[in-house]
Parts: sequence; C-alpha cells; structure tokens
Amino acid sequence: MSEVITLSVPADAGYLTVVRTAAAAVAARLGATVDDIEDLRIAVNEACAVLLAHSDPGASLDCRFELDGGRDLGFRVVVPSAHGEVPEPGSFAWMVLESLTGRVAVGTDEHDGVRTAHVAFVRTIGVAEPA
Amino acid sequence: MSEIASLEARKAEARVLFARLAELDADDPTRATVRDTVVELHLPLAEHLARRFAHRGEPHDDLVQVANIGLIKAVDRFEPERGLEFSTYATPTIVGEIKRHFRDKTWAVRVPRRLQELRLAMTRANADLAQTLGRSPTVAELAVHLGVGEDDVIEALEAGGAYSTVPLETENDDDAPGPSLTDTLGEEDTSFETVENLASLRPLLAELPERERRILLLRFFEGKTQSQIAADLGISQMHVSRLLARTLDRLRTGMLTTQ
Repeated sequence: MSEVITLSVPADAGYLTVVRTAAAAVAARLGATVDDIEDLRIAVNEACAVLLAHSDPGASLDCRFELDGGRDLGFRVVVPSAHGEVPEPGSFAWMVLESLTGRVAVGTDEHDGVRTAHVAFVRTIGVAEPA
Repeated sequence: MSEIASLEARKAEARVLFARLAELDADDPTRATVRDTVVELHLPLAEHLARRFAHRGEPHDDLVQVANIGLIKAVDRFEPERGLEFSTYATPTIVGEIKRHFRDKTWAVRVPRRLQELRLAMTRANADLAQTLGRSPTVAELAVHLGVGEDDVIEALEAGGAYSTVPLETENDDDAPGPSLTDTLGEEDTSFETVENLASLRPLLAELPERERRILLLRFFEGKTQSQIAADLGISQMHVSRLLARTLDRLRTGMLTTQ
C-alpha cells in the first residue's frame, strides 16, 4: 500500500526550503535518522536546483513523495523546461544524487507541446529491524 | 613557569621558527614541519579566542575549528620583517575568521531564539545518542530525548542548514584556496583520481578549501556517512551538513557559469 504526497512550489530557489522541510517531515514518518534526513535534504535540494537552472520562466516545481509501505521513500520533481536539460549519468550532480540515495532516474517528456524535465530518486530510510 | 614567562617563551620560540621559515626555500620539504610547529605552538591562542565567542549558539568544537583555520591563514600571511609579534598579528586574523563564520551563517529568515537554543541542544543530543546507539539517532529518538515534538526537531534541523535565499559569497572572499589542512587531517585523498575524470569539475574542486574538498570526497566518493565524517574531523554533524550543502551550491553555480 503506497502513500503519495504532492507539493507544487514556484520554480525559485527561495521556495526550496518548503520542499526540504516537507522531505524531512515525510522521512520522519518512516523513522528517519538524522543522517537520513540530512542526506535527503541535500538530495532534494540538488535535484530541484539542477532543474531550476533550466526551468521555463514562471514555471512551478511539481514534487511528489511516495511511500511504498516499507522503508523506501521515492521523490520525483518535474518542471516545464524548453531546454529539457537534465544531469547526465556520470555527471557530478548524478554522482552526488546517487551516493545520497542509491537509485536515480532522470529524463524529459513532452505533453501537448510542453517539454518537461524530471529527476527522481529512491532512498531507503530508517534503521533496519534487528534480525 | 608563570603564565607571563610561558607567553614570553612562546613569543621567542615563534620568532626562531619564523626566522627558519624565512630561510627555507618555498619547496623545501622541512617547511611543512616548521609550519606545523608554529601552528601547534599557537593552538592555545586560537582556543582562547574561540572561547570568547561561547554562548552564541555555535558548538565550541566548531568555533575552535574555525579559529584554527584563522590561525593557519595568519601563519601563512605573517611577514616577520614588519616587526610585529606573531601573536599580535594573528589575533585579529583569528577573530576575523570567527566573526566571518557567524556572518556567513546569517539566515535569510531570522531564526527565533527558541529554535537556536533547540538547535544547540540538538547538536549535543545528536552526538550523545549517536555515541550510545552506535548509529545516527532517529527523529523520534531525538524528540523523546529532548522532550520536544518531532516537528520541532525537523524545524531545528532545517534552521541549522546552510541553505539561504541570499546569493553565495563573492569569489574574492577569504574562503579562496586556503592553506593545506591535509597534514593536520592525515590520510591522502585516495578518491581524487575518480573525480578527476570529471573534467569540468577539476578546476572547481581545486579552488575549494581543503576541508570542504575532503568532506565532499569522503561523502560522495568514499561513501562515508555524515556522522562518520563529523567524528573523523571532530566537528558536529550539522557543521558537516552545512559545509556539504554550501560546497554543492558553489560547485553547481561554478559549473553553470563555465558552461
């Protein structure tokens, strides 16, 4: 059973604090440690910030958190972007995201003539149950 | 030895050491050793100055670390031929470094005092619990330990971040390539070669202060956790988090402008 939290903020660096705090609050529900939260906040910030740089004027960052019922927290951010530029696998931003989260996916889409770029990752949260 | 006598002895020793430094060629390997000795000799001065800024919401260890960076800068910039005692010269440099540390942390939105106090308590609780548990504590564990709600913990974590809506400091800032801290931190940057493959990153990494670069490599290329890095470097986890966030911002900005 999965739970989804969506959040839309103006594509402006000043609003990233809202997304980071939401990420921390969602992660806390999964029993996140401080390490998890600090990594997650940096990852969320990085994912949004790389997209911000190429977002269309006046666009919104659409963020989606997904809880899978276990210890995995998924995050996906999408922004309209005519450039459609996303971090390439092997780039520094990619490596940062991968080392903070484990699983990263990026890409571009086009719907009704609007190009969007997205970054997504999954991070396993919390302390493993003792065997 | 009385305190005054020991101060005088330290001044005399500093004069001898700086005279030796002046004689040595820039690439003489013994330079590093002499330089380290001068730094070590003045660590009590840095600690003393750091203590002046106690009770202002920053962990003591972080302030000492910042003061030590100021000290190293002073050692590298000192010109004995001007006739000043080193300690006279170093004091304003160290105090300046500490003040800059506070200034850099001026938040875009002013953080209420209650939050600052909570953050301070949390820095301590985080270290204590990590010690007891052998791992990073959860938000729930911190909340119980501090007797506050989980929301307060989350809020305090955010307030402790380096994130700010103001632009990054300008380039000619004192943060420019600092003196090498590698000697004091030990160990080589084994992962540097991996990173060097990323051509666009190389010049930016080279511009980073030694400590920031090291934290970056430890976290992203050697897979150490923030708490492990904090323990290795003897600073708080929040400080590690802050430095990481700031460094990433800086690299991202740098890469965008060089494109």
